[in-house]
Amino acid sequence: MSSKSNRLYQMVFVYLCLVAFILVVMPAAATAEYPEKPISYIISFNPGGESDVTARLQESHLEKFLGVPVNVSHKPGGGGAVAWSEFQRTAKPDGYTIIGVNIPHIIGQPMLRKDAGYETNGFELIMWFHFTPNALIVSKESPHKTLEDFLAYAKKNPKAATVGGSGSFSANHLETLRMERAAGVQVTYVPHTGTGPVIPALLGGHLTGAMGYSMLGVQYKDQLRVLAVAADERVESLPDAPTFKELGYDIVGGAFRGVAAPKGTPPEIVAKLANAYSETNKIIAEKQRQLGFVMTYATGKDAYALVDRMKKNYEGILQEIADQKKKQ
Amino acid sequence: METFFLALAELADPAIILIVFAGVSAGLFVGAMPGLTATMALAVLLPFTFTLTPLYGLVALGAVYMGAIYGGSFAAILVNTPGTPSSIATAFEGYPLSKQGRALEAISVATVASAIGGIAGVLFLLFLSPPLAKLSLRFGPSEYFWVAMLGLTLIASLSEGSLMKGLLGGAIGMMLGTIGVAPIGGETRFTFGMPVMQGGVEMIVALIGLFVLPELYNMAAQGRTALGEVTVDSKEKASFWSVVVRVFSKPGNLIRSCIIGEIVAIIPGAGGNIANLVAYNEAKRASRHPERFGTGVIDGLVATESSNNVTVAGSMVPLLTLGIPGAPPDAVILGVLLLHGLRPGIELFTTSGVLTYAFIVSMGLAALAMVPVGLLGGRLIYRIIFRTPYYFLVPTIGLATILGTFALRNSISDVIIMLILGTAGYLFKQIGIHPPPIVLGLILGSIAEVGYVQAMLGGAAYNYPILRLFENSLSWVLIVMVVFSAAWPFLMGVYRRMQLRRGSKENEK
Amino acid sequence: MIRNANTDLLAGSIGMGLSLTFWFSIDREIMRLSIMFPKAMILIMALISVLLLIKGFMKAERQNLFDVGSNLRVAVTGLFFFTWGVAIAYLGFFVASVAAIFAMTGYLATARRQLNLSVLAIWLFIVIGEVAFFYLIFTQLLHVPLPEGIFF
Repeated sequence: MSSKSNRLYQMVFVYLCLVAFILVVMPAAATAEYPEKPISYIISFNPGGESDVTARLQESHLEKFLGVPVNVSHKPGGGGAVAWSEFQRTAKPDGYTIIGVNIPHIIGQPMLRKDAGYETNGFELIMWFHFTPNALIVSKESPHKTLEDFLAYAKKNPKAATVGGSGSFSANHLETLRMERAAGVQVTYVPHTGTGPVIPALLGGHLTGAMGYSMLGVQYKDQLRVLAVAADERVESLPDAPTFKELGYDIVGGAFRGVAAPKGTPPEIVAKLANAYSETNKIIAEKQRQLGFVMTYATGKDAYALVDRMKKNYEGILQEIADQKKKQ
Repeated sequence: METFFLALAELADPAIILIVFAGVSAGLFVGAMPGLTATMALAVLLPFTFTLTPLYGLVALGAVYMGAIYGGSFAAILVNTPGTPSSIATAFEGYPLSKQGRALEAISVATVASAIGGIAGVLFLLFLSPPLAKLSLRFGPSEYFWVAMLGLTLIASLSEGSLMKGLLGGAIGMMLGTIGVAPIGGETRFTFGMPVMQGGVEMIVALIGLFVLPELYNMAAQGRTALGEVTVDSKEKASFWSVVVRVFSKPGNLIRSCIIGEIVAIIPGAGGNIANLVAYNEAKRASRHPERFGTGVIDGLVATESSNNVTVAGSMVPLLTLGIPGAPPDAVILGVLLLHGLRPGIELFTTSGVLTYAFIVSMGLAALAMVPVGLLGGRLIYRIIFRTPYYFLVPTIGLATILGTFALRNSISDVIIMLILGTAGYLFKQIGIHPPPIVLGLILGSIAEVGYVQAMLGGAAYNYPILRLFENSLSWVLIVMVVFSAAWPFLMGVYRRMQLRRGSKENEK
Repeated sequence: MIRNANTDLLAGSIGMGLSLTFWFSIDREIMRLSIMFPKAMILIMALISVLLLIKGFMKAERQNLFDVGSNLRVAVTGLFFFTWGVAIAYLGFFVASVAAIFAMTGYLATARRQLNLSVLAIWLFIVIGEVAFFYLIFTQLLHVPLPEGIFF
């Protein structure tokens, strides 16, 4: 080594030593009450998706209510299953690691996959904070003006109507299957790798329609037409779109997003988190509602009841798929 | 037109200039670290942008995006490791140049080419958005399938030596890509009983492993860095203006690469990762000396680096006009737009036109900012890598590699997968199966599968669903290109033989 | 070092081995949509492998393998990498990385120069600083939750 580069290394060395010193000293200070250190909030999907964007919105408000940093990190893969299975295997029930959860994903995957690696009931649910109802959507240029038009076409041409959606055995897929049963038609469901790719396929005329989330109807108001929404009541930001119920089909469903802690987390910590999330939800409600989300406030027992209710809703369809797989 | 000038006025703000430079520098760091992607950088930046005005926030995101795609070339040139998938082909020419002691020259070329590409992308976005957006919508499932097939024909030019082994590499890559959840069927496959394998082999994990580890093993075997022995430092050739002149001296190559970059950019789901390979392949095909490619050809470097930076602004054509992210990082930008109440579409160019145009032009500024930031940063990184002895360099690059792999999905299993693939890649390289075809297979595998299966589903009502692949006119355009591209090496072979024969006949006379 | 290895035969057998591994791990209950593409790919891979095997027997490409530098150093480096990767899960990122980098640097340096205690001591500090630098950037700036272990 030349003397010049030696000096370079010495300088770097001094600098880095300082850094190391700070690192060791920093976490020393400790207080008594939860939370006393940063909370890691895991999102089991890619950056840019609905789960991520919501978490980013919540982040700063959560920090305010909890008084500690909340760090959002991503662990995508397997439609969420990679993060959920690792979470149930390894996360410590101390309230410092929490994870975003979704219905129907956490209901369907453990039922249909041999190696999902986690259980629906293996979470300590903190809260379900919003709901995005499914909606049957077509392009503005489509000849189908109403749900009846669409179903009449599907009835006349079995399997010819292609309905796109995000993923297999997802909320979109299961809803399409329920619509087929309810209306007595046969369509071809075409799964996509996310909600994103469904839009160009719809606009480019590669699909007859799509079973997507209600937000799409708001975001792409100029280009898409919502034929029916799978909610109990009309969605605030889509006042002109009828519900399936109004049109005589009892179909209500969609994706619920929420947050959970590891099984065995002390109830007072869960309550504290639930409180912070509820308050946050109230603040971001206005922004989210405009985007087409339906806000929910299911905490405590309600959170588990919601899972049970949705489980019942989907059980029939899921069982049918599972049986089909066995028969093959 | 008035909105446009108002937008320019908005940009004459010292804060904007500061944000652009800071953003490009941060992006450069992210891009140069293998594993840290532009998408991740944007996601980390997201909460921060909420505290800024919409314009400042968007400018910051655009600058980071631009810098990240460019930064990937540094690692590719200096350590044969594409920092992002957008600079895979940069390593093919950049690293040989480094080995010849021309690293600074290579960095200057990459910088100039990137800046030109970035600006070209902005021009496409400003002037050609409507027709390009329409074209992007015509890509349906069958077109995706044919695009993937077209991509596979690149294997012929990517495989050094035996074509058969290149094809085997491509097939291995495609099989690796099928591990995990089926993109269409939704079920898991080839997990070998491990829940963590549901996540599959992430392309970037394989990319890092297959490119970096063999290089580290090589350094370990030889007991020195590839750059260590070089003494020539051609300061003359690396001077900025001479590089600018040389890059512009072949406008055909630049224009071709920019157009390729733009077309790939507007196909949703395909971005710089494919654009740089296609542009490289075409530069090689158009060259009078294709056999010299792979030994440090400036044209190849210009092609990859200009095409991948076109995709930054280029992929925003479908994003801003239709709300369709053209590449993964765009999904984050879409999120920001929506949160600020900006809905993509005509409104974006009329009601909030000033903001939109200012954002677009700021990406051009970011492209220009890359020149000073990149030349300085490049020299710094070069010095560090050049001076550091190999026994520090190997573990340090190893550290960056492990960190980058981990940070991608916060998964230690990914680190193990990376190490296994990298070690296997080193062994495969020995017997002539090189990393590029494997990575290409991984990139294209899922595109091909999605296109194929969706096309089959779309044709469910037909007697022969496969006919769906041959229905659209765009499909046929692509099919012709596939056939032509696959036949090219044979055509060239025949042509050469004919020339040889003619030459020998003339000699006889 | 292996002289004049029949690389076609080797590549062909690796391809064949992979094809068989993948083929026999196909789940019986899986639905057609999820497996039609991988099945086709396995068949194509097997076909390429067979062609390579045939070529290996007819007109083989021969090459010297592992003929550059010290293979022992490659093997030990590989061992270090894997130990490092696994150790992160148990010791935590910081401790595992400092140990691994320090050990690797020391081992690799023996090929180039003499070592003594004072040099090693300085290196240990450099390594700690280096890891701390990256550790801070990733945990504080990029919010990547690096694995914690026995200490932190």
